[in-house]
Amino acid sequence: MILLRYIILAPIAALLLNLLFGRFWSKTTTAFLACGAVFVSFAAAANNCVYMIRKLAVPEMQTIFDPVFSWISVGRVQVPVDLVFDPLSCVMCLIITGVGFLIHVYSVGYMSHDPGFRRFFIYLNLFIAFMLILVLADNLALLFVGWEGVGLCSYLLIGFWHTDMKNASAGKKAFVVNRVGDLGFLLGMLLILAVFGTLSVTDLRELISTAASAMTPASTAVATTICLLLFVGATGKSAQIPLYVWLPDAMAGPTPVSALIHAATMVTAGVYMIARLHFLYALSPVASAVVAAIGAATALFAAVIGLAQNDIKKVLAYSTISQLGYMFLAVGVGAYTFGIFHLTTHAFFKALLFLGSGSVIHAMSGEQDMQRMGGLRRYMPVTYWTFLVGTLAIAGIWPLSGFFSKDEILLSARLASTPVLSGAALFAIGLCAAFLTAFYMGRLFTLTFFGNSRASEETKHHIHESPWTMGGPLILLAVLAAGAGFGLRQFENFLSPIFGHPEEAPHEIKLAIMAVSLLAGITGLALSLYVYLRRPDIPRKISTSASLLCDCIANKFYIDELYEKTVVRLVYIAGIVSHAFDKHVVDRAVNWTGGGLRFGGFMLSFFQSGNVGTYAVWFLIGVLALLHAMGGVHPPPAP
Amino acid sequence: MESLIPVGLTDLQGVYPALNLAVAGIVILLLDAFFPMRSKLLSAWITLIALHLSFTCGLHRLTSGMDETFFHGAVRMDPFTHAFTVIICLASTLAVLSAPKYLRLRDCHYAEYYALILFSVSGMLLFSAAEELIMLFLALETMSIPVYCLVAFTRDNEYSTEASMKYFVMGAFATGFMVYGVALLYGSAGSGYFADLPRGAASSPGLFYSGMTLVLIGFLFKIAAVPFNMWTPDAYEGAPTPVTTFMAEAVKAAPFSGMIKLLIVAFGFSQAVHLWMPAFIGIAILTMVVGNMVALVQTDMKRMLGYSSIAHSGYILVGIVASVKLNSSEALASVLYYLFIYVLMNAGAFGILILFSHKNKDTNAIDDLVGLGRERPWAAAFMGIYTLSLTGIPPLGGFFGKFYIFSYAIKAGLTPLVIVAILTSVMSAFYYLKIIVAMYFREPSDPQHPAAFSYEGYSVFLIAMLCFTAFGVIYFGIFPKTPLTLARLAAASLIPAP
Amino acid sequence: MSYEYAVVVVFMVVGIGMVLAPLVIGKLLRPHNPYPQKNMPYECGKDPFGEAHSMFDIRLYTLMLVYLIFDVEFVTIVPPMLVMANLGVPALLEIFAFIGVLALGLAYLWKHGHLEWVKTV
Repeated sequence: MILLRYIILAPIAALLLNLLFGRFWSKTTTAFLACGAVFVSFAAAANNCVYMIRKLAVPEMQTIFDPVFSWISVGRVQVPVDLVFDPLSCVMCLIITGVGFLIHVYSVGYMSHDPGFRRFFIYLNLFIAFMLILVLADNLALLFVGWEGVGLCSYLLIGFWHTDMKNASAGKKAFVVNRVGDLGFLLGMLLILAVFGTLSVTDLRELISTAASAMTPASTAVATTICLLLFVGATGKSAQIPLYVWLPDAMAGPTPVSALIHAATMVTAGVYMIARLHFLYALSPVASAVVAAIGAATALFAAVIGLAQNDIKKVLAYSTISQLGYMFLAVGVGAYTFGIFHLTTHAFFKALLFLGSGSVIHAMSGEQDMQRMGGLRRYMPVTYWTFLVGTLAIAGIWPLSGFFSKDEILLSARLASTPVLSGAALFAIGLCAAFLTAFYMGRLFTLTFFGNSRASEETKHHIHESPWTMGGPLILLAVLAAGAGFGLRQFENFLSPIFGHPEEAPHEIKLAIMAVSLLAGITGLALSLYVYLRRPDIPRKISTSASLLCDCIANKFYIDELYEKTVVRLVYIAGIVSHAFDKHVVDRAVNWTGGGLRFGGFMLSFFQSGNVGTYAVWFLIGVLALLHAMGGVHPPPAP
Repeated sequence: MESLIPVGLTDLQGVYPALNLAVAGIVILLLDAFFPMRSKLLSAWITLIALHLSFTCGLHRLTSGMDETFFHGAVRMDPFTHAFTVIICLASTLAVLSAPKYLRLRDCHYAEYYALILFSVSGMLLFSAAEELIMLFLALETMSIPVYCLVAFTRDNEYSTEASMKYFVMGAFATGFMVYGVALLYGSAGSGYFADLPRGAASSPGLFYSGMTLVLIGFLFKIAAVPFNMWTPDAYEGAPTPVTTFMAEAVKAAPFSGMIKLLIVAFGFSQAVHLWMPAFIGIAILTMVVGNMVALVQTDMKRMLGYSSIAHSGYILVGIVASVKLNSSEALASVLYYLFIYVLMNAGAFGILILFSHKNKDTNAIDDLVGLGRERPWAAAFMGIYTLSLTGIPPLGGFFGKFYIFSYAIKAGLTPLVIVAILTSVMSAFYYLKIIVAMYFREPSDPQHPAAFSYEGYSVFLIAMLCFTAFGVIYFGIFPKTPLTLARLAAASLIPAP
Repeated sequence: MSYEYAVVVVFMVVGIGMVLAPLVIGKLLRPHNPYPQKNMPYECGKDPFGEAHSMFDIRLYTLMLVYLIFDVEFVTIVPPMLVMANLGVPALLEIFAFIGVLALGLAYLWKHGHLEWVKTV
């Protein structure tokens, strides 16, 4: 067993070394340090994981606890920095460091020509460190530190090429939208502190398990409020309706960043948080139902928008939003294990897809528009095959991992019944989304790899397969994305100390749902293949006949414009007003006070004439005044 | 007539710290007269060793808790005295360390400088020990007269001589009042011993209270309380910078020691307190307001620090009033702690000015420091530490000094006074930060300006002094336990625990 | 109306009167016979030269200062002498210590040449 703090310490050490001494050594050393540190973290986490699996039979040994130091101690509020390693954080740690390591290696190749090479790896390591803090924290306050920290890194990395105004404003947008969500999270946290008097998750679980029997309607209402507030935070971080708008813009960052932060790890923090606090959500059926409904709605909504995008990364971004919706659907209906399982498989295949798209973009000299791609199958065999695995996995084709996780979620949704939407409705929405997912992924794949190349001659000339640092991670991720599904039973067992064993569904329903979801995936893929390969005139016809709808979808239902016209405009006006207040009232008050004091000092300095005679006169006046005050009058009698 | 048998060896041993310095001063003078050397560093070393001996002696006596009277009760060596011995020796050491470089640049590196400092310090040490009016007066004059000479030490410099003249005339004026006060007190009580003085208040209150007022005026002059502060800016500006350092620390701390002792031992009974306390509160307010306000418009750093030292006197007065009102040794200890930190940070600030002074020109104006942050990052960082500490920014010593004093003042129910103190110390941030702004955020208008930051003449003494003060301001701010414990020990001897 | 200040008025009148009265009486009584030698200021039997408000040489002040110190020393040591029989040997030693310190000062001055009218630097 390795002390948990060292898992976090490794990337911090590497980033400090690179930050302080990086300019003295080569890019190779920088890259080696950065990747090595993440690998060390991975090894440490894996070591702890093995240790935990061995001790799984002993209930009290299932968590590793590492109290680092006491951070805040005010009255009865104690916020210690305690790290905790249970099966849930173990899974998250392994994903973050494992996928993180592969993406680090990939970035070495991807960023090799970038002047900001060192800065990039410093940010990446910082991100890994904050993400580890987030998942290892036992205390919500510490979790919030990680939560904000990854938000900061996300901001820095989206705007990595900050000389371009568009990228900088995309980073700003992500930051501001996240702030809105964070406000909810913070309020929820403070409410927890007010109600329970502690922010430690371990303590909370014990408090709630003892108090669960004595629930009143009022306490249920409080629990619902807390859960919904926390969920607002989750919608910000995990890009759900209504705060999803930042994620598509976040694709302005380098592609490895999109893969690591905006697909595999950071955006899943909201799901992780709800899974971590599942005992709290269990108290409030309403809040859970809201989570499930929002998740399902997002899954469908984002998938629809994904249909009409031409930017390869934008499609993947909407797909991420949609898949995150699945995860929220899962945790909303109480299938925490499957939510986390989908999080895991999604981390594999979405990272794979993003890295593959990065490989494509790299080869196409930065071109991201699918309309100008095509026929890449011949030029880039490694990318082609691995991308194919990713596409099949996300579309939910047996026996790839996406099938297992998605199938289990649909099954859980079908069996659930919530106060907001019935299980059947959730299942139907999920199924539609699954079909659309398969369709737009098929479209993406067809437009990119099949058919004839639509690129310019010069670009075509440069098309090449990527170096091994990029190819290697692709292959590894493809293997994981393909095979991870078979680990479902073990995964369930591993997480059972936290979430318990899910109920066994009736066999016939299980089979039926499997068949339906597989069918949806295959139909979607086949349809897109047919339409975009054999009948490319169909989409054109549709877009002319139903132009209004298509415009609407292509412009993302004008949600950004709506926000711009309402929320942003209001805030902007408030800003103008407060600026005017600050300038004309606050600043003037300050300036006048300062000016008055200076003037007073100026006037007083005239007493300092430099003439000894004048000094003596003032001295005498002082003497007389004091004599009058002290010597001239008779003292009062002693009390 | 046996009682007339005067001084014995024990008496001499009792005042060893002061005696040691006086002897060292004489030795320096004679050495210089009979074996004149080109380098005067030997004198500096002798001075440092003598100050060190007195310092360690004071520290040793303080920790061992020695409390005895000598010279028939005219001198009382109690922990309070020892604490001031320590503070004053430390302050003088810092001033001496900063001197050689400056004096060499000005071509007036004479051994007399060190002798005068030593004589003055020996007077100061007796000052805090005096328990008798004549003794007090003698000590005051022994302290002051060498300082008048020191201010004029660069005698070719007309500012220096002018400053000395003003200081001397005003000083003589104040001394006149003080002697008159001593005479009145003696006349009313029939004795010069502090402990006997309250008798006079009962028999002839008119004489007594007039005398008390006049004696206190002498002290208020020395600590530069408004309206007796007029000499301060002129003398600080005109004096050679190491002398200004000495004046702003040692010559400032010593009168406080004598005044505190006098106020508590002789004027500590309730009728007298009822008279002087309101007057002191008024003076403290005036001092803080005027000192800080006029400092706002100064452009010369020495003058500005002069006004700031007036303002700091105001803060210390607040502490004294609070500790007498509370009758608490803890509160008095905070005054001692404040003085200790004040000595460190002020010495450092003047040290930086000395560091960049040149053969023909001082670097005194705030504008002279423009661009220091880029040219000399270490010096600028040190200056930043001192000014932030003078402003009272945590975790530096200056903050805790003010914090302790103000919190005891609030405990004593002097809330309005503390409000004024805090407002004025906010005001002070303006002119202290002006230095930092000049160092770090202003572009020099003259491209040749950075040449002003060349070290002309390099002194290990000065560097050591700067490092020590910067370290002290930070260290004793974060870990105030040691100085505070010692200060409590000292204060408890003057105000016994109830 | 307070009569306390009447004392002050009386004091001032008497004080002024005591100065004026001898002057007036002398003016009335003495013979008036001025001649040039008589109008000259008296200066230790020497003929005065120059203005009375003339500047003295700074070196004179140094000498005067030394003189003054030893003058004060004389005043300080005479009273103990008178009761020496009662005070005993320690007091004698003390007086010698006092003289010794002053002598050291004299030695310093002498060595620095402050006692020479024309300094050889």
